[in-house]
Amino acid sequence: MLKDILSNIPALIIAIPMFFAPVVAMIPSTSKFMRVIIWQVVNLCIGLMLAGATYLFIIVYQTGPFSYFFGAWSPPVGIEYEATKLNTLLMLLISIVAFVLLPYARSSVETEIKHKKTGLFYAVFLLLVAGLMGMVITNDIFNIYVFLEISSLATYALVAMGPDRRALTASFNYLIVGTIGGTLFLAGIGFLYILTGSLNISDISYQLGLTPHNKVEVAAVSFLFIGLAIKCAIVPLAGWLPRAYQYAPGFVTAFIAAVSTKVALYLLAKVFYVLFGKDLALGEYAFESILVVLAVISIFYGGIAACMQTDFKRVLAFSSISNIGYIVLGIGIGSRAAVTAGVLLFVAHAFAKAGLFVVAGISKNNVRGLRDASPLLAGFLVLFGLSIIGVPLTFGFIPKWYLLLAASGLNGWIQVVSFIGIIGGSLLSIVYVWRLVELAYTASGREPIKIGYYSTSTLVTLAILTIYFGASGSPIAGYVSELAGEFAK
Amino acid sequence: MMETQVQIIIAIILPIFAAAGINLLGPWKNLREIWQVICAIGQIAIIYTIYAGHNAAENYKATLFDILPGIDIGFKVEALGLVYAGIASVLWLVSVIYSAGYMRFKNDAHQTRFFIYFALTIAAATGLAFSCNLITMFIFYEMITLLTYPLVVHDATPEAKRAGRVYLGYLLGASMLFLLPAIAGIYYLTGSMDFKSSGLYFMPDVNPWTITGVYLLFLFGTAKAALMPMHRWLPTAMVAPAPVSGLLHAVAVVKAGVFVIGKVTIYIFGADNIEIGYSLKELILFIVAITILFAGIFALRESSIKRRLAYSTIVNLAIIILAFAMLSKAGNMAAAAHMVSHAMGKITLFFISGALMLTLGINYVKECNGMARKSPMLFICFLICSLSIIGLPYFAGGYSKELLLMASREEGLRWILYLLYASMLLSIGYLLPISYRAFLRPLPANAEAVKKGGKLMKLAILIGTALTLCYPLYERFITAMLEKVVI
Repeated sequence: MLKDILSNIPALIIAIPMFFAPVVAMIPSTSKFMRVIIWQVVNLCIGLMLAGATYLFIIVYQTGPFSYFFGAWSPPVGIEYEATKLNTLLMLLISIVAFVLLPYARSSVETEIKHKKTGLFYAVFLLLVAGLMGMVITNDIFNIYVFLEISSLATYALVAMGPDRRALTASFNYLIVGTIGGTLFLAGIGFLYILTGSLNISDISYQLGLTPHNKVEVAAVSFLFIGLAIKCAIVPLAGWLPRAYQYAPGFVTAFIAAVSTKVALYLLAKVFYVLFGKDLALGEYAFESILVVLAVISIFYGGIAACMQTDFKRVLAFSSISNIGYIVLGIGIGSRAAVTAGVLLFVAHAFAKAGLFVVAGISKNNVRGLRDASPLLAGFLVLFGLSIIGVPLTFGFIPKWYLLLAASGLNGWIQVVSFIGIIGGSLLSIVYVWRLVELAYTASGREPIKIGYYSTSTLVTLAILTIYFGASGSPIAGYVSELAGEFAK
Repeated sequence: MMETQVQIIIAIILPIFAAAGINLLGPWKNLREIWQVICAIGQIAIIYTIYAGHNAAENYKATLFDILPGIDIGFKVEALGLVYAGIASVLWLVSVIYSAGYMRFKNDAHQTRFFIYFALTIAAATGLAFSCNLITMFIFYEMITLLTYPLVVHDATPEAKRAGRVYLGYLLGASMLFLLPAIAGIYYLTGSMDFKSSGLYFMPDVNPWTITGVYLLFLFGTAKAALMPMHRWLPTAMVAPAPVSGLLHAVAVVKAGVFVIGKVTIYIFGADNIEIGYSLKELILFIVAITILFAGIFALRESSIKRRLAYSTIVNLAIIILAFAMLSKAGNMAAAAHMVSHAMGKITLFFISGALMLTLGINYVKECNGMARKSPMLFICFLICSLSIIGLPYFAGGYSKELLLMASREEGLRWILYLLYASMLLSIGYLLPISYRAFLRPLPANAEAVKKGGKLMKLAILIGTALTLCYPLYERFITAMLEKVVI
């Protein structure tokens, strides 16, 4: 029995939230007691997923990557799930972030979501997590599209549930743009299917190597890239992001800002490195220069826009665009150090940005005079802000350091542009973080904010993770560097 | 006998411990001040113990964190660091006495907060002094910036906030823009970031222009050293209370800047070992010389005493950098000596300017007319310290400038002699008129009466003047300490 469960964990990790979602939706949420029950059930579900992700991570760490055939149908006919070093790390990240944010969800959902919709809210949230997990674990490109749609639809619904009425237009805007992105991605899959007659990524990659390169391939990679660029929020396709982050409920913003775009970025890297191969995609199709230029534009656009915002959450949202630019830069450069930087930034940025959005949520999106209202909250603002800047001894420093190393190893104009991007982005991040800190510490005379124990535990955990990995990053950096070497061959 | 590693950690933790105590003792002012004095004396004692037990042969490293392979936060004792930590600890004691007097005289509302950040800055300065690699140095360098920011904006006026923004913008901006890339460049060129007594090994095929470029990045990246055009934050930060100006412009901040440059010159580029050729070295020296001349000329135009002193600081910092940039043993020696002598003279001058502002209401040079008759002690001390800063023989500043001249002769750089003469003439021009007006001009008829009080301030000023005046008595001790700098 136990052996059967353990051997089917790659499937169960998707099946568990899909099973729990309707269960949660069916529990009536009229009384406070029932809402706590719902929250407990969601905790149980995410806890099981965390256990599963940890198990997969350990197995891969000990014995190396393995494949799982759905229903024992072997590819290219059946659907293949694979557990590699990179995607188990990402699954672990998604489930940790979800698990750590849930305590905060308790108060956030209670105050921001209509009580009778609590069950539905959590059901949609579980579907979102299932979709993200599915996109990461599957090795079948059509399956990726299915999970992409599941997670996108869930995100539209969650954003629309925001307490402000403008959440509806933000969600609708995101829905239109996101659907276009999904459609373009699907078109790219269609081209690949025409070329190879297969949907399994490893199989497509193998078959592409057999035939001479042609225009259809270029069309396919372009469609996939633009479709994913919308999901990743790479400038100029990032217009949906600030409003969606601003008006979504606090808990949703913290979660999607931490992991949603990261999963899309992972897919982008997978399309370039695994599906087409690094030499072909980055070299022959010139995506190295395209990605580096777009990345630097994203870094500057996000940073400059963040410096000009007056709304707390919008500053953080534009800062996300800037940080996405850093990750795209890592993917675009494509050396081992660069990919290490990108993957480490997945993790570092997830912790810091989730923490900042929790601070924004608790402070009612108002940073002015935060020190008077709650010195603890202001302290967390400074800590996570320092990690976003990339100050040594916080986690944010480590990816920046690897990016600088990666840029040192480049040649020609790409090196110059990368250096300008990395350093310029850091300077801009100092400005926008400092604006927040200055507002929090200089304005005075604000009513005290009471933070519950649950929300505090979320913030403390994120802070401990940020400081721990910042102070002793050697183990994680070593592991990521190893997997980056395998991933970006 | 404690191990050196433990002593270093204690030296860094003691001021933090002091800050915690200040926080607890906040409501009881006298207890708080006694506690600070005890901690400052303890700090001097622990630095002296480290100095006494220091043996260059067995240089242990205390590692705190292991951030990444090859990047760790660790501490090590070396001679230049000892000099810097020594200056910081001695002047902390003097500053505490002075600040206690100053803050009470002003009846300031946030005294405890002020003293807490003061103590924490000393902790960061000590960490900087003993840092064993570039990344540790960088962290503590940034910490000093962040910890002194609340001190600069202490008065919370719009002007102070604006100055605070300029302060952060210059210091953080330059360090991110130039210092961090310079560190990454060193790591890329040599594969290491550790301070080694003979400098790091550069591949023979590295272009001398590249090395010069990285060195210039260091010079401009440490904006705390206020090399033009990175100097503007310093006069602007003059809105801070006088004890802070003393701390910023004599000890923690600006000396941190030149200390970083010195440490990098000696232990990364390896003063004697690096070969960049004569003309490139002269190029660097010329860039520094521009600051020495122009900051001196700018100082003449300033009418506010504090701003004039700030420009004088910029001149003297550039002189220290000039000595380091000679890339010779004698140059390092002269630079370290000038760090000590300038610190003592300048902190006292700032103390006096604060006391003048509070007791006599003097902010500008023209207000000094005849004031020596009202407060002879302050102006006599001011004259003595001015003479030391100018570099008159037998004063502290005279000794260090003499060392500098000898070093330049050794290197065959004759023009530095004339440069120094010019800067001394300029410094006579901007410092002595204050004393001239105070002693020789008549007192205006409507002069206000002297406000009573501020005994502690005067005590600190006397100690500072005595340290400057008695330099010949302990010159041998300092020289012995400095000789260890030259490994």
